[in-house]
Amino acid sequence: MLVENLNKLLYWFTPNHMKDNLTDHKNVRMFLISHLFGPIITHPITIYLMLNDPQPSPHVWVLAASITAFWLFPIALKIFQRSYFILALLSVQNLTFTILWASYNYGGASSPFLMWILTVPLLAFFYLGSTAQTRILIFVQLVLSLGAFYGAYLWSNNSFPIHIPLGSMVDVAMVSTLSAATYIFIMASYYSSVVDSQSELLKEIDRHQATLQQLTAAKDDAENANSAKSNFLANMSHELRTPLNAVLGYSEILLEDAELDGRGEEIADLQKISAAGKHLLAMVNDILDISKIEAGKADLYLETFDLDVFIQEMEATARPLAAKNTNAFVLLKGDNLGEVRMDATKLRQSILNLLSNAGKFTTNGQITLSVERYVKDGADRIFVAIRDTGVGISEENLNNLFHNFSQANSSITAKFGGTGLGLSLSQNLCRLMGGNISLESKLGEGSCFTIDLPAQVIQPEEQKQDESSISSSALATEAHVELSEDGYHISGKSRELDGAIDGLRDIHATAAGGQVTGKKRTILVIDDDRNFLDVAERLLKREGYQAVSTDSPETVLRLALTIKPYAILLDVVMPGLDGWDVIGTLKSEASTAHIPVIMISNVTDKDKARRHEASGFVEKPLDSEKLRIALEPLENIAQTG
Amino acid sequence: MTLILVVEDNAVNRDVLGRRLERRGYTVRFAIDGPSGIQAAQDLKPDLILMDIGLGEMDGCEATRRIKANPETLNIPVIALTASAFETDRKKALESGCVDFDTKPVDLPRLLSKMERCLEMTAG
Repeated sequence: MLVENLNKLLYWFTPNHMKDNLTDHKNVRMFLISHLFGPIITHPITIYLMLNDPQPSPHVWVLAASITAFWLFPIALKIFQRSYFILALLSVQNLTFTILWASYNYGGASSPFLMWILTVPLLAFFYLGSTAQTRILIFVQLVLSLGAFYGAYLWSNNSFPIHIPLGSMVDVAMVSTLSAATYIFIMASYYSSVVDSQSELLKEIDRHQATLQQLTAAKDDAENANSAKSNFLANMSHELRTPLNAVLGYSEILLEDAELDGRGEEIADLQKISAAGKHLLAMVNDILDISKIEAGKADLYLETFDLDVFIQEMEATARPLAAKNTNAFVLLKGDNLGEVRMDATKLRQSILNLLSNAGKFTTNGQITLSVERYVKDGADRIFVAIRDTGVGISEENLNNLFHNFSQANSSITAKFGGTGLGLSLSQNLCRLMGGNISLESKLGEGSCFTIDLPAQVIQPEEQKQDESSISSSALATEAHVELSEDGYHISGKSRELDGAIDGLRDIHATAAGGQVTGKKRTILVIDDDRNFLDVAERLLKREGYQAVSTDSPETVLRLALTIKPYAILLDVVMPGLDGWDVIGTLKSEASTAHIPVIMISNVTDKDKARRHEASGFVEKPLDSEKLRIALEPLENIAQTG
Repeated sequence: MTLILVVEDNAVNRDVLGRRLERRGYTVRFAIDGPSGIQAAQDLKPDLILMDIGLGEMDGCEATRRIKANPETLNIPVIALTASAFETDRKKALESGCVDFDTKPVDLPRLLSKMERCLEMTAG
């Protein structure tokens, strides 16, 4: 309850622009807590001195005023929200003055109050962070103040004023020591809890990294398994076809012998062996074709040929298939078929599959094969229709028809046989060529399958593997990791210090397939504009880097420590923490100071960039040329260094 | 007499293909692997070579490449035979210098028409 109210009070005093930033917020809370409680802890000393000093005026009043002044700082901050840095420096100066004033008046260099000087750097770093700039500033301030202290001693003829003899100050010395110890105790406790939660964050990031590696490994495994499947296919293909070669070959030899000798009964039996062998071979081929398509291993063998001639040649094979159950076969050819470019084998296979189906499901009917070429929706296309007057297909079975191993219903399988692969295969073959098979049918009246293909089939681009998306919620923190091509994106919102772990929980890491742990150089990109990050990621990838991007500048230091990037691309204008703050943090941290930072800015910031130890800058909009110019000098540093 | 050299490592395949070709009036000679195929091509100067791609150590493509590299055997047409299911093998075979390509198990009428086309081309 008390803590809650205190938090509310602290939040009220916190400047708005510092509320969203983890580091700022932490510092400002420190500032507010010590200013609210500091005077409460130290005023008992003032009261003691007031009571025990025979002549308290004016030095005790000065002391009381300077301690009370600390209460004004939060109010000043509420009014001058943008002046935190100045106020913090003033506060540190006031603290130094208070301590040295009390020491000067009560005991000089042996004063029981001088030990408070130790809180000065501690508090200064709490308020302002321990950047190189702050360190120097605070140290100089301390030295100058002590110099003034010593100067005052020299000026008073090498003596300190004695308001209360040192010997009588044992009580107040004990109180002072206790107060100082309590004060440092509170600050140190608070600081160590901050350190704990930060190391918790780092551990969290490590866990994310570990998940990422697991996912990457899983993806590699899956890819290996896939290629194992392809190898298995190739081998199985060979192994199955070799014995079939013998079955078919020898049965044919025997068949020829039997025919020569006129052994009628044997001829019929041998024909059955031969037919069964051919059927088996056809099924093996179908299964292999389907598997090849599914493994993305089906290649198109495109050739330009005369469609008219092609159909004529095919007619000889087609006619007996269609005419199976005493069906009439009709061939209708358009006049303008001309030359086409496609995979002739796959086209033939598709047409023969459909014709064989039509023959199978039609008795004493008519099967029509019509081939036409015309422009549809501005595209030059070939239409091959296979129409039958057979059993037809009911509406509810139409949808299942193109699936592997699926026939209209199981009674059909019993009656007509077949593996149910033909239609699915034909459909897949046509799709591979950029076409499609459509179907119209009415139960009892017949069916019409239409192959619709572009007249000029284009080799599909290198079959792009579907971007593997793996998401894992295995971690308690609901890590959501998406593997994509290269690099990954991390965005997280850190609300306040206590909620920092919650902030990380929101982190979504979009991770790059395969290469995350690879040898590519990693570039960390920070910008609040998602679109810009997308562009940068793409460009970096093209230049052979791996990109890690984030739109939350607060995470930069932790990220940089974790992923150890080759270089950092940093936007200047961001809400909350701007680019100059971020580079300041990076350069002041020993383990990140060496990482080259390139500011995304304009030329007018050139000097500022140099002052901030930036290794270069690029202007928006980013393109590969600019990127190369900015990154090339780093290459030289890396080589010579 | 048309002389056909069959390079094939599988004894059953050699037997069945050889007998079927002989029945159709061809003279058939065999080689059981790549190196002996190259040697036989040089010694026999056959009219046509049927080359299995999936041979042992030296595959059919390599053997064809060497036959085509030898000026004495350069002009002998080679038809590749393979049981492999993949188009890439077809491409590889054609790139190595085979004039045509067929799959195993052999569909004899189809293979014969390819052989005749090759023989006509080299004769003419």
